[in-house]
Amino acid sequence: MNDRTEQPGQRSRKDLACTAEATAYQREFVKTLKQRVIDHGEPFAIAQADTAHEIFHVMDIPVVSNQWWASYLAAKQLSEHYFKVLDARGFPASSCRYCSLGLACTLDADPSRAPWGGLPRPTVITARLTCDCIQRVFECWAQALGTRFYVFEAPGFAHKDPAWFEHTRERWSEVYEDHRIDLHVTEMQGLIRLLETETGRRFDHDKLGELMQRINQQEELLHEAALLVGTARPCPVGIADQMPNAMIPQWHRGSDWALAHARRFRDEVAERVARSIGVADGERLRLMWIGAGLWHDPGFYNALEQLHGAVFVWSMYLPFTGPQYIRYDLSDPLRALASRICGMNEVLHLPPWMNAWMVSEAKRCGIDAAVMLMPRSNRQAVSGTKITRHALEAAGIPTLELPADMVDDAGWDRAAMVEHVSRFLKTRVEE
Amino acid sequence: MIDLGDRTRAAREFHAAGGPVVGFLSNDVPIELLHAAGCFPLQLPPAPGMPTPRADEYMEDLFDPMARSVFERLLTGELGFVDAIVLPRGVDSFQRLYYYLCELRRCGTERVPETWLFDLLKTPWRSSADYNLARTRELAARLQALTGRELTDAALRRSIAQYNRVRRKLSAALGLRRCVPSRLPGAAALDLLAASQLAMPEDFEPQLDALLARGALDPVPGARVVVAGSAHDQPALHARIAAAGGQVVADYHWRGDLLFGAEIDEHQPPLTAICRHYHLDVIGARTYPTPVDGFVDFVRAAQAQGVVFFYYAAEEALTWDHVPQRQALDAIGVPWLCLSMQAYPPDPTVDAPLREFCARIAPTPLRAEA
Repeated sequence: MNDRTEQPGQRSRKDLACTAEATAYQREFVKTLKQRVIDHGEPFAIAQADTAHEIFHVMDIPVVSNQWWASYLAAKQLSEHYFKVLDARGFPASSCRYCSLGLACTLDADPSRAPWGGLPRPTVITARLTCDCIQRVFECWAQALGTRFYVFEAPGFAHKDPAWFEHTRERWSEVYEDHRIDLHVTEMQGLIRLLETETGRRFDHDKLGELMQRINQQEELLHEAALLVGTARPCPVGIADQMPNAMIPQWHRGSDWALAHARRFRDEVAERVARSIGVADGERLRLMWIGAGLWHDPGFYNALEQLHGAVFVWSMYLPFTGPQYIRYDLSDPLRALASRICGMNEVLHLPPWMNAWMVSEAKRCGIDAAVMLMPRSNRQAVSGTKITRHALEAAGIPTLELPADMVDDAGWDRAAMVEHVSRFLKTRVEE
Repeated sequence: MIDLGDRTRAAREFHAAGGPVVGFLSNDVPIELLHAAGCFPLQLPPAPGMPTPRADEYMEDLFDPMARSVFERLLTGELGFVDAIVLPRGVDSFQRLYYYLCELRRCGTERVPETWLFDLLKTPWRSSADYNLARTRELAARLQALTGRELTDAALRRSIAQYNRVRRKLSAALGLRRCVPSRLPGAAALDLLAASQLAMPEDFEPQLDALLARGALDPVPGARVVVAGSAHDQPALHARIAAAGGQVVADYHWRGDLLFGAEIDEHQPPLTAICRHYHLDVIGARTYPTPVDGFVDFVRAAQAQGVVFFYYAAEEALTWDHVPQRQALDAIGVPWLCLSMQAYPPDPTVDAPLREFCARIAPTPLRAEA
C-alpha cells in the first residue's frame, strides 16, 4: 500500500496498511466522542500525554491527549489561524505553541472551523507541571471550557541513572525514586476520588491490574517492532508510519483494539523485514529524528530519500515503548503506573537520561546522522538537545539542529529545510 | 547609596578565610538554612551584557538570560570559589540548569561546583507540604555534610530571627520609595535588594540601619510606576524609566519586592517554619494558583500611576499572567504598558514607548500624603 495524501503545506506517504487502520480508528473515536458526551452524557477528559490515561481507561472515560489534538490541528494546517487568536487575545508572542494550540482552538469558539466542531466540554483536564507555563495554559483552558484542572506535580530527580532504559522494566522503583512515585500515587488517588464523585462510577483496582498486564503485552509487541526496525537492513518502516502505529495505540493503551493493533503492526513490520522491503530504494543513510513530530509537514521525512537514499529510521515514539511503558512488578499496579508516568517527560528532555539513551539508540540502530528539532517557542522541547548533540558527535554521529516548530508552521520553508539538511549530509556524512 | 561594584567580594573573602560559600538562584532557596549551617549564602550574580559563548555551547536559546549568564560565569571559573550550588525546582530555567551542571560534572567535561536541587513544590496541597519538608530535611543534611557541623535548632532560630530583622528593615527602606512623594529612587531600591543577597545578613543589617537613620530624604521625581514580569538583577530598566519621566516605586518580580516574602514564623519548629514559608509565603514562577488578586493589591499599595510589564524574549511562563493581570488593572483604571520579547539587559528600544507611557500616565504631579 502506498497512500499519499496532499493538503496545503503537507505531503505524507504511508507504506503500511495498518497505518490507515490506526488513523481511521482515531478519527472514528473522536467523531463519536461528541455523541457519547453530549447525547449520552458520558464523562470525558483532556490530558497531557505524560499523565496516567490508565485511570480514565479503567473508569471507561474517553480521554483525548492534548499533544494528539495539537498535532491534528497542525496537520490540518490550522495553526496559523489559531495562533492569531491568541495574539488577538493579548497573549504576548513568547507563548509555548505545542501546549497552547488546543486552548487557542477553544478560545476561537468556531465549530465550523474546528475539526469535528471542536472538543466537547470535558469533566476534567489534567497535566503534570513539567514547566513553568503549563499550569497557566491549563488554568486558562479550564476556564474557557468551563471545567476543572486537576494538577499533578512534577518533582525533580536526585537519582540520575544514565542507563535508565536498561533498568526501568524491573527496577523502576530505584530509577524513578520511591518518594517521587509515592507522591504521584497520592495525587492519582486524588484524581480517582474526584472522578468517582463527578461521575458516580467506582474505580476498580483489579481492573487496573488487568489493564496493566494488557499494556505490558501491547508494549512488548511495539518494542519488538522497534527492535526489528532498528536492526533490519534496509529499514522496513520509516517514522511517518512508526509514529501513528506507536502513538494511536498508546492513546488507547490496554484496550482490545490497541493490543490487536500492536500485533498487526509488529506482524506487518516483521513481514517487510522477511521480504527485505525497505522504505527507500537504495537506502544509503540511516537518520535519527530527535524531538516531537513535525506535525505540520510530516512529508518532510520522505523528502531526503531520493536525494540521498536517506531514511529516517528512528524517532522516539516507537523505541520509547519498551523502557518507559513496560512494568514487570505489578504487585501494586498503582505504584507501577506512577513509575511509568512520573518521569515520562524528563527522561526525554533532560540529561543524563536523554543523551545517554539517544547515543545508545543511535548505536543500536546503526545511525549515520541525527537531525534535531529546535523549536523557538518551547523550552521544555529544546532542553537537553545541545548536550545530546555533543554526546552524539562524541560517539561519531554528526548532528544537525533544525530550527522549526512541531505545530507552528510560521516561517517554515520545506525546500529551504530540505536544502539545509541536504547540505549537512553532503558535508558531514557523505564526504 | 549601596556600592555594588564588586558583587562577590564579601563571598570571596569568606571563602578565603576558610568558610564555605553556597551559591543559589531565585527567591525560593532557604537562605536561613544556608546561613544557619555556617555558609555564606550568595545569590549568584549574572554579568548582564557580557557574551556567553561557553554557556551557549550547552544551553539552548530559550533559557532565562540570568541563568545563562550565571552558567557562563561558572564555566569560565569566575565563580570558582563557590563550594556548592543550590538550585530550585520552582523556576524552570534554573531547574534545568541543575541537570546541565550535574551532567557536565558527571562527564568531567567541565569543572563546575557540586550542585544540589532544592525540590520545592509550589502547589498548596498537604501532599506537597509533606514532600517539601522531607526535601528541606535533605538539604539540611547536605549542608551539615558540607560544613561538618551539626545544624541545630538554636542556630536555625538565630538565622530566622536575623533574616526577619532584615525583612522588617528592608521593608521600611522600601517604604521610602512607596510613599508619596517617593523618597528613594527605584534604581537604588533595586540595588538595595541585590545587596541583601550578596552579604551575610549581620553585615547587611547595619547598612539598612544607616539608610533608615538618615532621616528625611529628598523627594524623587517621576510618574509612579510598578515594574512587573521578568526579574531584574540590575536596575537598567529602572534607569530608563527614570530617564523617560517615570520612577519605579515597586517591583513585582522575584528580584524585587517579592524577594523575601513575609516574615518567617519564629514560634514554630524552625525547619517546619522555613519549609512552610518557602512553600506558601514566597511568590515564584510556579506559585499555584497564580495570585492575580495579590498583584492588584500590590499595585494599589504602591499607589502606582501605571504598570510596565516587561518580559525577556526567553520568558514563556509569566507572559501567560499578563492577560488576567492586565484585565484586573483595566478594572481598577490603572494604565499599563507591555514590553515583551525584550533584550537582557534592557536596551534603548524601550525608551520611546516608556517616554510616551510616562507622559500619558502623569499629566499632573500627585499630592503628598497627609
